[in-house]
Order: sequence, then structure tokens, then C-alpha cells
Amino acid sequence: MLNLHLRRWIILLALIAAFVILIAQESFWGNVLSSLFPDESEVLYPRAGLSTLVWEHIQLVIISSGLTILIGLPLGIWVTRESGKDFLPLVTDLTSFGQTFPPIAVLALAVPVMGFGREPTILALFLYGLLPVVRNTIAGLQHVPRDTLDAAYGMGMSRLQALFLIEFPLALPVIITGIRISVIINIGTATVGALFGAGGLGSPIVAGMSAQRNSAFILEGAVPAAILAILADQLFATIESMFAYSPSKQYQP
Amino acid sequence: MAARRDSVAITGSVLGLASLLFAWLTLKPNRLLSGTGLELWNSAGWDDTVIILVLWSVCLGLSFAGNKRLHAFVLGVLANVILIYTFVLAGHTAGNLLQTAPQFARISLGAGFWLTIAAAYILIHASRRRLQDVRIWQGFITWSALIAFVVMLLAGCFDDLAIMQEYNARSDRFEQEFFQHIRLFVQPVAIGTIIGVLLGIWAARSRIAEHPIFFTTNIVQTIPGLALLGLLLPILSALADDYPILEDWGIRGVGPAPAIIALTIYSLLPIVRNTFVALRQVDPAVINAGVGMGMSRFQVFYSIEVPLSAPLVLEGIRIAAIVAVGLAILAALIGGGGLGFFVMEGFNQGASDLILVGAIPIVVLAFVVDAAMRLAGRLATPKGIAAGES
Amino acid sequence: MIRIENVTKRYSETIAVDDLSLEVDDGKVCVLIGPSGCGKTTTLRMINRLIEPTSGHIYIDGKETRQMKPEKLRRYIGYAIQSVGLFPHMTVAANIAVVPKLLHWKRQRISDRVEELLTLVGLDPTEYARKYPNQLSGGEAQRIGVARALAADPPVLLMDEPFGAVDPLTRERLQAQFARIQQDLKKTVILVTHDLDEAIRLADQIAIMNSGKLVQYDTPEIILSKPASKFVHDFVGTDRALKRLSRINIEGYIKPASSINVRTPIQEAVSSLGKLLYLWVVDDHEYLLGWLDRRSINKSTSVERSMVSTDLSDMAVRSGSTLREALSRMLGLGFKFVPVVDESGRLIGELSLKDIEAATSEFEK
Repeated sequence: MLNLHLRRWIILLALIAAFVILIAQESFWGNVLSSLFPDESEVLYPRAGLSTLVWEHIQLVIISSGLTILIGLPLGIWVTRESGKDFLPLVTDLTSFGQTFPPIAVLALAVPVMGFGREPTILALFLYGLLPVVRNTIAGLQHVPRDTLDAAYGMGMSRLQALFLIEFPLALPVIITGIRISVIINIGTATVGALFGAGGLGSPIVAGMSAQRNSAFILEGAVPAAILAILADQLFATIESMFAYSPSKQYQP
Repeated sequence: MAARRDSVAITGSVLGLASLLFAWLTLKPNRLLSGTGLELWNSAGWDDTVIILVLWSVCLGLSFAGNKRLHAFVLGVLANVILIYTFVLAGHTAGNLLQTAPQFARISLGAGFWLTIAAAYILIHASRRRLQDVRIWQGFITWSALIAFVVMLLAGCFDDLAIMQEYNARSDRFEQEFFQHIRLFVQPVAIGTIIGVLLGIWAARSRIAEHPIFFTTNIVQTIPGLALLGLLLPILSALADDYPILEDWGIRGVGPAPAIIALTIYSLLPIVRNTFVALRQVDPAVINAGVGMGMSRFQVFYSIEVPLSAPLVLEGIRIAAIVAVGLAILAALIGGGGLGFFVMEGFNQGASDLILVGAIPIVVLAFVVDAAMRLAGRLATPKGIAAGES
Repeated sequence: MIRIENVTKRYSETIAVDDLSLEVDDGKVCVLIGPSGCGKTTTLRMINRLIEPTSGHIYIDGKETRQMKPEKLRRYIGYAIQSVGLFPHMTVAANIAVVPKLLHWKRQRISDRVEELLTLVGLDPTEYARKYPNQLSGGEAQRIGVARALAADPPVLLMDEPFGAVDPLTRERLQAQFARIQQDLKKTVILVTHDLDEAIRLADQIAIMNSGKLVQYDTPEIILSKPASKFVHDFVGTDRALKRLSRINIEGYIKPASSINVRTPIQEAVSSLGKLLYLWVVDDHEYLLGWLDRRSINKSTSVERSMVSTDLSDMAVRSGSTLREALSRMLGLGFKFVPVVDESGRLIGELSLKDIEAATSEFEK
């Protein structure tokens, strides 16, 4: 079984490495895009190099997702404990309320509050990313079979020990799925953030969509953005597949 | 049972009291420049401030009191009263302020206002939970403030606030773009439903087709919205150049067409997946019974599989619709119109209230569509089946 | 030693356990039994404080359970439940090792203990230690549940329908294994079951409960022979006599059996048979091969061909069985006698229906 996982990881890491290397080769991109669009005078987005754009984009996602996990996980855990269970209905309703809320609208609403630049995008990504993480943390923890918990307490685990040794490991697959959903949506919304000055791979796309249509710019941003999202998705899928033991794997959120 | 304090209600009350500390309204010298925040007492006066302070304090006290239903009802009523009072005060105070302010001044809603609404929501939520068995009371405290708000909005009570002023200045354009936005999400979802349901049926019936169908839709779903839209532009431009008929149909690299195509593609996964699951989960024993009774394959499909799958499929359409409402903002980037137009305009001009004119209706639209689709789903659920709640 | 003193558990409207008092001596198995809702599981869970009593006291070895922190208390009590509750994300070895780890045992001690316990419950450590719960059968999982409960060598064992979730054949095997383990380990055990046969097989004392009250607390023999109330009488069932037979080993009732060697010449066999009803036929090593009676014996052939050699596994009773099994064979085959063999199949004696009848009538006195 280990071999199967090892193979997946190797393929994945190879693809990521290839992506990183390709990103760094600006001239390669320039040549490809020139040959595709011979009429365009400028083929590469002038404000920043491709690797910078990718890095900006990744930064946006990492910072916001990091905050989301830092706050979302404990929130989800607290709300399923004795001390927080009064707030469970409210939090549950808020997360499903948030599911209907369009993510780009969150971004648009953050701008009047925080102005121009990276901050509103990070705020919007953080807030919107909370929803799948909190929702899946709650769902994962609630799906731990009652008898398993009963056995844990009966054997002499304290509530904290049961949480760390039993509940959390069993909920982990579902939680990771939540993080995965959150990150993928964030990569997409961060792309739009470029509109509001956040930088990232959306910048060339937006620039290319403006009145002076420049398809080369668009591709320069869109293709890496798409690959980035797909790679991130596969990364999380591979992590998820490592949890083969747990019966809660059958649960599809 | 002994009186138990309601932690959620306490939180709401405390938040409400805290909201008084924040800027309630913002006075801007004109629509572009940032302004100064005014607290409640600086804008509306101490009398009203004290009234609201007292109301929140009573709420706080009631939160500690106990869990009799009467307490919850009064709490809910108070929350609604505070909300309505806040609404009236906002419109009224804005009007007063404008009279003494320079000509182009604008009044925006500040953090304090939004916090008040959040606090009231928490209080109403807490009260609702304790009123589960008295639907009438529960309905009353849920909808009163909302209905009052809509009435006041239509009556023009808020016309002195910056948002309404932006709106009123462009109400014709708003109407145009609003309906365009509706077109922008209804068309893709409709087309996506047809294609998606067909693909879903195919995937459910054929083991060979299942894998590639899901593989492709999954990959496409992962691609960021803006990126997909961007990728379509040169493709559509090239196609329109090569095949001029497309241009006559409106399919080219500009305008709403790329957005509609992109949104159609995004609608596919939820609909395909839900159709697939819905069909697969129909109990084979039920189908066997139908066939055994002499139904033709088509009759089995029509009278058994379709009704049993309907709720899930409708849920998939609902999800697709909500996603489409949100993503349709991007259409404005390529001249496709829609409410995103105001978001972009507002941003480009630096007029934050104009952004809100675009963003808030999108959010409201999303919730209305959600509620409508949920209702449709409930109506379509055959009696006797527990509909899966998402 | 466990002492339950005037323990009551009240939920807002109902009384689950009503002023219960009983004592369990060291090394004895006490079975709590009764109809659904009688309070037996609630009682069990009050001992390790998964449920707190509304009033009353529970003492283990003189110390009141309420004095200790619940987690600490439970680490000294083994706990095995019907659904086993194995942790799906841990290997079998890790599951068993949970309480020892909580008690900070050294790693070597833990792994030795895991090996010891797996062997004790009849599973090969090298094969099972690294398996995951979803790879186990029902019977294997229940055995590991018991092993896990015994891991830290607790003096007290609480079991709630530990053999409930498997088929009857596996359950019987598990019960037998448990009885054997208990003989060696001599834990103080409180076991909840709804299966009266299980209670009769395993218990030193049975506590019959009804609607939260203790109705009778005695040895199985006394409960079967002297039910204290109409309820107990009905609960125990009208086949009390049969149930009692399952408590009695055939040891004291085996009579010597008449047998002849298979190679005995037929004429000698006829005269040996004489007035007897039948003769058992054995080989040189005393292994039972079959039997001869007047109808089967044929003077023109040999003993070997004359004898009736039915499938002896149906007929012969192994030493160590109960009178109930012997009776069951007799009734099934329509015979009034059954041969008794040892573990390898050697004839050691016989049992007669008359002797069983005599044994039964003894109880009635």
C-alpha cells in the first residue's frame, strides 16, 4: 500500500517541480506567447515577472488560508465541545448562510472597508475560507461514532486526550477536505483580487481584458493560474488518500 | 428546569452595546473623498443614544433571566424594535446632517450600523431557537424588521444615505444591468441543466463514461473563474474570426457571450454530480418492482427514477445558480454588463458606495434564488421521502 | 471487592436504578441480567462513573469511587462493550496499548504485554498486531476488545454484552474462552447480558433486575431451583431443569463402559454380549470405533463388519462437557446411553439417561 502512495507523491512532486522550473523561465514563455500571437507588440505583462506574479498569488492564498486554519479549526473544535455547544446552531447557520454568499461579493464588500491593495483581498479570502473549514471540522468531529468515544472515555481518557488521540485523527480526513475546498476557492477568488490591487496572476488577465485587448497577457496569467489550482487540488487529493483506514472516509461532505 | 442564561443572547447583547462605540455614520465631503466617522451621539443626539443604550441593556438583562418562552419572545421583539428604530434613525439623521452640510456631502453607513445589525441577528437567532413550538411568534420576530426595512426602502426613507443617492442617480442603468445580470445567470444555468442532466444520466448508466466525465468536470471546476473566462476570450475571438456566423449569433470575444459560456461550464459539475448520485441511489429493488409489474424502460424512468431523483437534481441546479449569480460579476470586465458594472465603476471612480450598489443586490439576489430553489426542491420532493437537506 | 450501597439513578421523570445494593467478592463473576430498561447497563456505567449516581455510594476495594478523578478511576477498570469500539485509525497493537500508554508504561513492557494478551485470547500476535480494525471479523474484534480491557491488568472488569454482536456459534466459543481466561486470571468481573444461558454459563452470582430494582441475587443453582418471585420464575423460563443441567459437569456421572476389541473373534463377541444390550467396540489404543448389539451382530462375519460405526462426533460426548449436552445427544439420537470419550477419542466410560433423570430429581429436593 505504501508503494501506491509513494508513486503518487513522486508524480505529484515531479509535476510541481516542473511547474516551478517553467515559471522561472520567462524567456520560454515569451517565445511561446510570441509565436501564438505574432501581432502583439508586448507579450509579457510589464509590471512584474511571471515568477513574481505566481509568488504574489501563492502568498495571498497561504496567508489567508493560514489564518483560516488558525482560527477556523479551533472554532470548529470549540463549538463541538461542552463549553461551546450553545453556539453550535449559530455557527452552523452562519456557515451555511455563507455558502450562499458569492465569494466575489465578499471581495467587493471588503474594498470599501479596507481600501485598495492586498488587505481587502486577504480579509475576504480569510472570511470566506472559514466557512468550509469550520463546517467540515464540525461535521468531521460530529461523525466520530458514539461507541468509539464511549470506549475512549470508559478506558480512562480525559476529554482532552480523547479529543487529540481519537476524535481529531478520525475527523482529519473530512477536515482536510474542507481545507482543500477552501484553498481552491481562495486560489480562484485571489485571481479576482488583482482587480482591486492585490497583485497575483489576475493582474495580467485583467490587464489583457481591458480596452486594449491583449490575449498574450491573458494567457500569461490564466494558464499558470489554472495549473496552480489543479496542482493544489491534486496535492490535497493525495494527502486525503493517505487516510485509508478510517471508516469516516465514506462520508462525503 | 433551573433558569439558564443564554450565552448566545448575551453575546448578541454585548455586541449591541459595543456597537455604540463605533462610528455609526460617516460624513464625507463628497462621494470620492473619505470622511469622518460620527458616533451615534454625534449624529443623532444623546436622546436617541440613551434610548438605544437602554434597549440593549434590557436585552442583556433578559439574556440572563431564564429560558421561558415569554422571555425569548420579548427578546426577539426588542431586537426587532432596535433594528427598526436604527433604520428610521439612520434615514432621518442622514437627512438632518445633509441639511447643514456642504452641497456635495455624502453620508455612508459606518461600522457601528453594521455591528448593530449583526448583534440584532444574533439575538433573533437565539430567540428563534427557544420558540420552535410557537411558529407564529417565531415568524413574527423573524420577519418584522425585514418587512419594515423593505417598506421603508420603497417609501424612500433611506434616500439621504449615500448608497441610495448613488442608486437614484443611475436608477435606469441599474434596472438595465439588473435584468442583464439575471440573463447572465439564468441562461447558463438553463443550458447547463440540459447538458448537465444528460451527462449525469450518461455517467450513471455507463460505467465507462463515468470516469472521464467526472474527471473533466472536476478539473474544469478547479480552474479559477477569471482564468477560465480569460482562456475563452482568445479562443472565441479566433473562432469568430474563422466562422463569421458565430459573430452574428453574438458569440465573439467580447460582450456577454464568453461569460455565459464560462458560467455554463461552471454549472456543469454540480448538476452532473447530483444527477449521477440521484440516479445511482435509486433503490434497484424499486426499479425491479416496476419492471416486474410490466412497466417499459421509459415508464420506469419517467414515473420512478425522475420523481425520486428530482430533489437532488434540483439541489444541484440550486448550487449552480448561486455560483452563477456570483461569478456573473466578472461579465462586466469584458463589457457583458450585469451588476458587476457598478462594482467596477465604483472601484474605478473610488466611490465606495457605488460598489455597494452593485454588490449588495448581488448578495440579495443570491439569497432569493437560493430560497426559491429550496422551495422548488421541497415542492418536488414526493411525499413520504425525507428530502436530503444540504 | 466491589460494594454498591443504596445507589439510585434518577432522570427527570424516570427512576432507572432504585436503591440498589449488592456486593461482589474478589475474583468472582457477577452477571447483571434483566429485561430491557431494567437498569443493568446504567448500574454498570455508574461503577466507572460514565454515569453519576443521583444518590448512594460505590466502593472498590474500600475506596469510594467518587473520591478519585473519573479518568484515573477508569484506568484501573477494564471496560468492554458490545460494539467493541476499537479505534479505527490505530492498529490492533496500538488499540490494546492505549491504557498502558496512559499509565506511562515503558515501551518494551507494553509490546510484551500486547503479545501476551493476543496469545491469551487465541490470536497470533505476529499476524494480528499490525492489522487494522476494518480487517477483522466480528469474533476477532470482540476478542481484541477483551484483550484491550485486560491490557493494564486491572483488578476489575466491566463488560456490557461483550459477546453480543456475533453469531451464536462464535459467541459460544468466546464464552468458553472467557471462562477459561477467568479461571486463570480470577478478575472481579461485572458482566451485563440479556442472555440467560450466558449468565448461567459464566456467572458465580447472578443479579436479576427489574424496573431498576434488584430482585434476586444468588448463585445460578439457587436462582434456578429457588426463584424468589413469580417474576424470576417466569424470567428464568419453564426449562429450569434443563438450564440447571448445563451447570453440571458429566464428571461425577460417568459409569464404566463395557467394550471389546475390534479384532475379537465373532463367536467370543457373541458370548461377551450375552445379556447386555450392547457393547462398545474399540481398537488397540482404546479409540472408540462403533458399537454392537443383538440386531447388528452377524455370526457369519467379523466384529468389524458387524458393528455399527456411526459418525461418532454426533454420538460421543467429550469429557468436560455438561449433562445438558449429553442429554441433548441422547434425545437427538434416540438412545438411552452415550459413550464418553477423552480429547483424543479414547473411550473412558458411558452415561445413561437414568443417571441424568436421577440427577435432575435431586434438585427438586
